[in-house]
Amino acid sequence: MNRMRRLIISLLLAAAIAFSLWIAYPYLLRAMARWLDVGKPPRRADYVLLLGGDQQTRPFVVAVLVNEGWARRVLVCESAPTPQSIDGILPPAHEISCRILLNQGVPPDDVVVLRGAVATTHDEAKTLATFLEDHPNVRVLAVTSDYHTRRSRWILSRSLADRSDAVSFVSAPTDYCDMNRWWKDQWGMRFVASEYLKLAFYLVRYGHLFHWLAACGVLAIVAAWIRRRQSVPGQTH
Amino acid sequence: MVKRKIIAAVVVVGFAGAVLFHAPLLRGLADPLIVDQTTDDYDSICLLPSLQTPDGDRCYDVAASLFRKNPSAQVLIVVHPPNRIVEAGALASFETISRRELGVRGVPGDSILILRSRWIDDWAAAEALAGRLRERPESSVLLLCAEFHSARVRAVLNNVLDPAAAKRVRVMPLPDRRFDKTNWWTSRRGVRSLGMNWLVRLQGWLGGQAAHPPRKSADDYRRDIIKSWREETP
Repeated sequence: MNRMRRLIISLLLAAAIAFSLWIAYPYLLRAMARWLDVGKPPRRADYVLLLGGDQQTRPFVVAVLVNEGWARRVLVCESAPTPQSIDGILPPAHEISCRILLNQGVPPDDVVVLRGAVATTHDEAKTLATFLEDHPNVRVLAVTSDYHTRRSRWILSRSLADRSDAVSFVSAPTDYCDMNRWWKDQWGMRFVASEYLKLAFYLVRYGHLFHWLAACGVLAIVAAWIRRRQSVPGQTH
Repeated sequence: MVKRKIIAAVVVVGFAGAVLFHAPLLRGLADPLIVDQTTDDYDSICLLPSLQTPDGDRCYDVAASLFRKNPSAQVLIVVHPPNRIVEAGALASFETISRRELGVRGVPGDSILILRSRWIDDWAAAEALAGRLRERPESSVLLLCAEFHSARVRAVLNNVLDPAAAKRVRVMPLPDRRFDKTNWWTSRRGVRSLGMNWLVRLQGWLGGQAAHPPRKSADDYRRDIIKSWREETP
């Protein structure tokens, strides 16, 4: 009888959770996308760093920042070669970005290309760290896609350490997919869901020892709790 | 005690098996993303765009080689609506790039046909192709796309086209020169590509086709950004 009662309660609880998730999932998914965006309105700076990637949005935001007087000069990291650039089908990504900036009214002398053939945000963070060693007192606005700001901030803060407060983030809105329904969109899924996977990867690959210890600690506590429950008389099946 | 020993043995054997057979297991992870329907029976070769790049490594080389095998074939190029980068003059359009690259490889301009899609996703590309198939009911198409994207493309085609038309389109997967299904886990790009394409596959199963947000010119985009900064600044 006791077992039957527990089974019914468990089923009811599971049904309630499933129902709540079914009702709440659009809100949860929207919140997931919003959580990734930690961009702030711009503040005055010496440089704008254009992080590589979505060229439909990021270089245009950088151009607005320069044209509106928020910063004077732009830092663009040299991109690593891709199959298309090797075959001469497309120019290298940083060249395309520079062309957009010039087309949008940024003076050519104000665009600084940082050499280094970067392929990842981590490479860009290292390139910026080197630049800041030579320019210790400058302030930088980092521009990247809205969904990419949280991971970029984390990576830059790890790479720049005590210089990380010299950098603030401005989001470039991804306007060609509806972020309020990103899970319905081919690009939204690629951007938002993959960003969570990349965040997890970066935490494991570049994360602090503390993250590992915390994860191990949580696992150990859960294991101890399960073991304790199994060993208490009357609670085992 | 015996139960615990059995569990421990299963864990050890499972771990050893995963280590020993990791290659077939990981290849198996890529298999659901790949459809290979390569055929010699085609009168059209179709190229797809990704956001700004052609979908599929060396797609122009492969398309030109297929054209040489069947010089009466037409090369269909699905093009997305022009984006801000093209409008800014920073990059040639996918149509211009494709015509140039195919021309260099010996495909004459009058064998190239442009199919314009209404949006920048696989569904819109499939709809553009559907229009062509309706006009030419006897046509058979060999569609080139990235290897890990091929199953998704096949699924979208099956969804958009009627069954008879869907059968007339075959998908030819193009492996990336840096990785393929036999070694994707050895490179970071391979892992990323596999992950991204699994997510897009998942989106196809769960979400289906999305509504398209309105397209913004560079001026509209700039205006909206400045407005949002003013609204957010205290």
